[in-house]
Formats: sequence, C-alpha cells, structure tokens
Amino acid sequence: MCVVLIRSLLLYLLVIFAVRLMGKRQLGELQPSELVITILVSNIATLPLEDVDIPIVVGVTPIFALVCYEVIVSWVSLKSQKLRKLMSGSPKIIIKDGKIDPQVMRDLRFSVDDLMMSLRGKDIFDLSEVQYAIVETTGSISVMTNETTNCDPPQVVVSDGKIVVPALKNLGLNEGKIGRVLKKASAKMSEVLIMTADTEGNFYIADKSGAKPIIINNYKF
Amino acid sequence: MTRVKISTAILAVLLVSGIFSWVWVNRNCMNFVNSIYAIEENFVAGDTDGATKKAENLERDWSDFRKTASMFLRNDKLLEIERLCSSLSYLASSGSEDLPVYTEELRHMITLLRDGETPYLRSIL
Repeated sequence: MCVVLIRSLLLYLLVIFAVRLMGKRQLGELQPSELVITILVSNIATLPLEDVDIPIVVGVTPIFALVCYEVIVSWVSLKSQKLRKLMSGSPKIIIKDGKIDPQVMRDLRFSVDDLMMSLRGKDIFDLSEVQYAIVETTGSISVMTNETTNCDPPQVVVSDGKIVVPALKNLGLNEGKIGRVLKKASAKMSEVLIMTADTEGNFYIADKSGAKPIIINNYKF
Repeated sequence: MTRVKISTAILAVLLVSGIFSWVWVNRNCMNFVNSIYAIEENFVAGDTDGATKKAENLERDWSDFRKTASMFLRNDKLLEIERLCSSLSYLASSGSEDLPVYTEELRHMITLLRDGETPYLRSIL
C-alpha cells in the first residue's frame, strides 16, 4: 500500500512535468497530434499505477518519449509548412461570401446539423448573418458575420519569410505585387514573420524582429 | 527553444538508457545461458557436486542481477526465472532426472527475456 502511494506521487510529479514540458499549446484547443498525445499519456500513466510489477522507469519512458517527440515535431513544424500541413491539416473554408460549400462539408463529413450546432455555439442562429466561416484544424469553427464586414477576411500571404501560394491565388495577387508592397514598407521577404492581405488592398506586415507592424490601407497596384 | 533542448536531452538520456539496458541484459543473459550449459554438462558427466555448486552460483548471480534488472524489466518475469533457478541446486544435489527439464525451461525463459530487450523487428512489432 505504501509502495503504491509513493509510486502514485512519483507518477503524478512526472506526468505534471511532462505536461508542462509540452507547454501552453497543449492547454488550449488541441491539434490532432496534441489530442493523440494527451489521450496516450493519460492511458499510459495508469499502467504502472495499477500494476506494481511494472517498473516506474518502464512506465514513464513512453510518456516522456511521446512528449519529447511532440515538442520536437512541433518545433520542426515551425520551420516547415509542409510538415505543419501534414501533422495538423489546414483550415477549410465552409462558408465564403455567405455561400455554403457543400463539397467542403462532404470532405469534412460535416453534416448540416453539425454546422448549425457549431454556429449556435457562436451565438449565431441565422445563417444569413454569416459572411465567412472556417473549420479550424482543431475542429472548431471561426465565424465572421455580416455585421463586422461585407468583404472576405484577410489571408496570410507570407508566413515565416515564405510566400503562401494558395492565398495569393485566392486574392488575385502574385509575387511581383507582394514585392512592391514590401518595397513600399521597406521590408524584406526573408525578414517577414507574417503578412496578410485582403481584397480591398489592405496589408499587414509584421517582421521577425518584433517591431511595430506596418499597416498599408487601400494600396492600388 | 528551452523546451526543445530539454526534450532533446531527455530523449538522449532515454536512448542511452535503452542501449545500456539492451547491452547489459544481453551480456548477463548470455552468461546465465552458458552457466546452465555448464550445469548440464556436469550433471550428464555424473559430477553432481560440481553441478550443485554451479547451480548455487547461478542462483546467487541471478538474484544479484534481478535486484538491478527489476528497475528496467517486469518483476513477474524475473521472479519466475528466480523460482526456476532456486530449484536447480536441489535437483542437482539429489541427482533428479527432472533437472534437464528445468534447465531447458530456464534457458528458454532467459532467452526470451534477452530477446525481449533486443530491438529485433519481431520484438518491436
């Protein structure tokens, strides 16, 4: 009994350390890989608690291994958009300019009931109020209503110094135009942390040094 | 970045521990298997005193090994092998015809234990 008590305390401390090692990302909305790790860690942690024949080292090794893999993979994902997309997927636009995309709903296996339930969770009971809705990689839905704006929300066109080609195509932009905007803002592509653009010619540029972001409104090409 | 460094350090420690456990268990299990062969040789040759002495040494060595190995390996497997080891010296001293059965079973269990710690594909899968 005493042995079980001490093992419980040790495992509690070790699991807390492991969860803290994963960091704040784990405490908010969970990405698919984070959800998998959370479920696995909670199941694995019970095994040495229930069975004293399992050494503590053997019990916590998979916990720490999984957590460390997750931290390292998420760090590598910062550098690689392809890996990020592979691990977490990408957000899907389910309602654009007030129009529902049935193909995206089929791809996501999102029924009409699921859509209405998600919108009600955002206090929206009338579909006609919705200008834009995105299903995030966590499964949650982000909504922009007609009250806020009548145009589509800004999209990320440069991420961590690299052009996001699909976003450029959506907005009818190209690398040359982005280059001109950056020149006006006296910024270099390689130094850009994030750059967003919308259909109205509004740009937001934040660089990697953490300086105040540059906002350009109604830019005409 | 600190978390990444800590994670990398923890993974390195786990890897080193895993390799150590593999090499250490492998080496000790090979020694035990050789000891079992030696006991059988002595027994077949009619040297019950030699077989008994070797069986007692094996039992003592296994007990020492188990105390450390219980930190890395499941205790129930180790205790099962210890039970067999403790029977050997009595069987050897009494010249029992059951000794070869026990030694074969013991050798098989130690081989399984060693294989379980070796990263063969079949062990992993």
